[in-house]
Amino acid sequence: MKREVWKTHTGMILAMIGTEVGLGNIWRFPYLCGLHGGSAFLIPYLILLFGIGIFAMMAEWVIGRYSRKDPLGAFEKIGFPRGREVGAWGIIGPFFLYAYYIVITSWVLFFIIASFAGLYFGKDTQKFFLDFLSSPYIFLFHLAAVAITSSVLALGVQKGIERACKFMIPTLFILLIIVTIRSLTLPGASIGVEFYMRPRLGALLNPAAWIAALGQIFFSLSLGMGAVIIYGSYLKDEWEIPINAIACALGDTSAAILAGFAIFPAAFALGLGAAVSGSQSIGLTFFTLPLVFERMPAGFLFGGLFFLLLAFGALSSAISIQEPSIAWLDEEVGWKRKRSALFTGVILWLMGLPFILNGYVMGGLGEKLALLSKMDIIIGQLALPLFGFLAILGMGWVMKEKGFQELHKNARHKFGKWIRPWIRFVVPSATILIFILSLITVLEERGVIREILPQVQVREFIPLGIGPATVIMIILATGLVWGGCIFLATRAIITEKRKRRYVPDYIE
Amino acid sequence: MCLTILSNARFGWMFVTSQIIIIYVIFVLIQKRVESRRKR
Repeated sequence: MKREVWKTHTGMILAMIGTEVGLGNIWRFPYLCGLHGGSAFLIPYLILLFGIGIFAMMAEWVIGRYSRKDPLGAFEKIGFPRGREVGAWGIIGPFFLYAYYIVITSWVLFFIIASFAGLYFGKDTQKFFLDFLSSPYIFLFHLAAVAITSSVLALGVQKGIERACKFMIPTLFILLIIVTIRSLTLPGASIGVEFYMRPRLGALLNPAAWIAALGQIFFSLSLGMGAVIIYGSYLKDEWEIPINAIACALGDTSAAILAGFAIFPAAFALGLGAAVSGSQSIGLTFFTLPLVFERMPAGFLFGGLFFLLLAFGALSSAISIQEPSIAWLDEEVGWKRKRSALFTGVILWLMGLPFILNGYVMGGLGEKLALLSKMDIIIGQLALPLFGFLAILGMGWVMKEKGFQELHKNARHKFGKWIRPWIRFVVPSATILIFILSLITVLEERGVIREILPQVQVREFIPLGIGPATVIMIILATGLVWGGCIFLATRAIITEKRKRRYVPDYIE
Repeated sequence: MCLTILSNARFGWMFVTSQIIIIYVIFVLIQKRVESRRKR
């Protein structure tokens, strides 16, 4: 059977933007801007986006298009050591990510209806949200969210994913512009614009701003999820990778910047500036923003539209993280696409149930989200950067020249010779840095060690304090990176020699 | 009852990590089987 590719160039760009634009753009980027110097945050963000992020993304596009396989087959085809076992994570990792991501998507779907109907107006929004988690409706919305992504995927790459993204992504941008115009035209909106956009350059001296920018870029571009590899495998050969990857990264960034204009001016105009600028993710989306819509003229309409655009972003990302497993069943097991979509849909629905039941049975916000936040720490904060790092090594150190040839295939604009050391040394170092810093954050700030071993404090493990400990861990990690690279390089040389040694005479 | 135990921080961590490891190992074994069947 002939493997599908994207039908049109526009469809491909929109599908790629669909994987990238998700909850992170809307519920985290504006918060980071507010925290790290307003518009000054764009300086580290854009420098690191064009210096590191797009190259990490191109590495996944290259692996995908070169192999024309699902992430598992791709890692094997490029010759990555133990490629099938490593690539298996490109199928299973997104599976776990989807399991809890779709739960959040189902909350967003409920809030579309809740906003249009004004269900939370005049109520304590946090209690309203917690009551929803304890209601039987949550099961219905969860099932609906899984059904939507599985149905789209059952239709295939061109008729399913491409067509859905061609509708969802432009609509998302139109809705975002509508909500932004409403927000900017409220009396007193200029205070919010000033808070969001006034550059506070002093914040750039804080390394936290640069680290936050790098982390946000990595997650926002959906790297390390297998999604970019599988979407890259549907690219046509005549489409040049460098320019298209840059276009997609810019599309993703523009959605993130616009989201800030939709949120901050309205929040400051309606007297909720402090609450909104201090909250992110679940708190911002489900407790604080509903308060903003409640106070806004025709807030039910704009609240509904806001949650609708958020749902489009979340669903298009969820579709891309369900796709690797369907592609694997389709291509390697030989199942029909509809059967694969149904099968993965049922498994993913079952995998999401523990998170739903956790919220349904328990009381209190922390207890209700206990399992979901733990899964997010392991998958979202630790496993994804690690897999993304392996993908970069795959292009730079395993594929080597073949990787760079694939990158420049049919490209009118080519990178100079600097691209080789850049992708082989600089980009993997930055990626492993994200992993190490995520690990430190998880251990230190999120109190993981304290939860597992209540009597032990993290600082007892690190007697010198977090500063020197960070430096030591970075040195160790750098050693690990180059150790891994040397291992991969020598392995490739050994395999090459073995192949030469065992060439039977009759072939020559 | 089961979920009350799972929501306990320590058991929650055990549940989540064991779920990830078990499913990953099962998947690797399945794909090896698929691969060997395909080669045959």
